Amino acid sequence: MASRNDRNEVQSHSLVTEDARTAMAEAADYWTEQRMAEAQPVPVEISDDARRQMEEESPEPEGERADQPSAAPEDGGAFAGFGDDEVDLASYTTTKVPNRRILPYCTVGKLFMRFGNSNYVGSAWSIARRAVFTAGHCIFDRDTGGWARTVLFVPQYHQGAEPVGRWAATRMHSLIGWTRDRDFRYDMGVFEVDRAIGPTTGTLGWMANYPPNQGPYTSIGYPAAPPFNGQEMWQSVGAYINGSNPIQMHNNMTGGCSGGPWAVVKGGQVYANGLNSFRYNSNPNTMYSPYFGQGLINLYNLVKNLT
Amino acid sequence: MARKKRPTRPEDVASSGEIQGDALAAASDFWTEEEMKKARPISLDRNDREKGNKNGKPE
Repeated sequence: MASRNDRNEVQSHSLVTEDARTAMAEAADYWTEQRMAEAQPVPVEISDDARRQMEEESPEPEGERADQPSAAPEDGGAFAGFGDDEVDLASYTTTKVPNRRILPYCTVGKLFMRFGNSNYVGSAWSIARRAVFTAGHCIFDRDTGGWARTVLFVPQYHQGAEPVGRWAATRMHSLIGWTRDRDFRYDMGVFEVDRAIGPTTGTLGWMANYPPNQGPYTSIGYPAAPPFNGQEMWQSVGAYINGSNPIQMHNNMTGGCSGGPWAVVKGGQVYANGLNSFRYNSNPNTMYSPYFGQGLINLYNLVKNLT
Repeated sequence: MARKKRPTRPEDVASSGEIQGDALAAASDFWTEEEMKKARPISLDRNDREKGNKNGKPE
């Protein structure tokens, strides 16, 4: 049986060692237009080993599937045409968000917070009538004493303008897997705000316990590290790459987009099914998200009935 | 008889205390234009040494 190294070795043949010209002439003679048109795709078969490996990397979710639909702001902001763009499966397409008033963008905003004596920015989105969702690391940092201070959320922020106002956090929640273990598979959090926000911004729905590959994703946020400047809302549309938890997508946004949602379209509805959590510094165009499973449901259940 | 406590799971919730007083006024007092300009992006990057550590904990 071939070892893993054997499988990775490059197989090479020399087709035209003795008389390259003769071989090329034979090939040209053979590959007439008709023969090219009749050629069939080579069947791709996955070995049992490879299939087993993929299944181990993408196990079926354990909990029951759950989802929550999005809600438009009371003054409009319908979901229209989002997710219709063609996706380059091998890369990403990153653009400024053209219309911050429609779903899902109207729910997304810039997040300001303090850890220790330092000021930071991230991204977040409104998820319920009086609650905002983000990455756990945007509101809890064990190394600087725990919960963030003076957390301010500005939905639809644009070059210093705050078109629908600002909201302050009054209570924060994250997962034990993040606060105790600093485990990036649980890098998510939600915070309550000082007054109702859902009617103004709308709320972005979510999907949990679905198979990991729900892409292509539209990652949204306020990247602030170069080449971005944190003053505008951006989106990076990219395909699912791999992973069951965390999951990965093609995405080149930088620091400051942390906590922004990964939106997907299913059945004509838009849902969050991931968030900007981290990337490795050697591979900046691959973004990671915690898998949305029972942890997300637990956080949502805490805030869903806030009035 | 006392019921046995369920062990804590990573997907369980941890919560901060309630912020007392007018949270919006306090946040707005702090977040002047100048303070906003001083804010840095919260870190997104992880060191490659952490790669392969499946749950993402630092080594």
